[in-house]
Amino acid sequence: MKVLGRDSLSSIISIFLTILLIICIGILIGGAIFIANNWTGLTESNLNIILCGVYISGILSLIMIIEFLGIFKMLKNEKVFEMDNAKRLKVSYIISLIIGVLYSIISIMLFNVRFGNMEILSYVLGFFSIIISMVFLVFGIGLVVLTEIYKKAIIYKEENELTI
Amino acid sequence: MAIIVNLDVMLAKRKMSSLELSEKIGITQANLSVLKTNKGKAIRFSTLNAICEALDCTPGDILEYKKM
Repeated sequence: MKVLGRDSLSSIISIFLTILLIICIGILIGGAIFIANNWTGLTESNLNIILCGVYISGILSLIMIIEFLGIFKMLKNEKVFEMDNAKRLKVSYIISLIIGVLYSIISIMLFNVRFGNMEILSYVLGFFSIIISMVFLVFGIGLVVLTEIYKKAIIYKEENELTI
Repeated sequence: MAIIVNLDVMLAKRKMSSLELSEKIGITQANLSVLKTNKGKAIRFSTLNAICEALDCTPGDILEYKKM
């Protein structure tokens, strides 16, 4: 299967990302309305901060999806080695690292929250938060390396184009 | 870059047009323009050889080093 150009993997992924973007915007708006309507004031002050952290990470993820959508649209148009793509990758790795750090903080906070008589729940949620934070941190570091390689490739490509 | 391409000077000395030179050495006018305007990053020996042959000059006549 073709990876670049029209009717390729990139075009399928860009369609998938567009659908994902719409779903995420819906969830974020829906979530905000739900929280606003059902807000009774949580007893655990940590939970408010955790909720804010999760919501912020949701917004950041949305920006990351938009950046990836831009990259795949460029790939769809067979514009591979463009500086725009490198910039979008840079934004993505910054966001990924921020989400990773955010979830590390959330996991520490979750371990200190007590959900009534379900003590195990805080440990389970804390454990999952650690996994999410590790995934985003590793993904972010991977993107840092990939961005640098990508930038070098763009420089080499430009040099090659300007060799007469 | 500190390397200056004096191709337009040599073309004027030889009373040759860019089109004529590009046809003689077999490169596009766009690429010749890149060379003339000092936008090029590198020049192949084969291209340099062809230019020197067409203009009857040495690489030193075309390329010049100017300290920045």
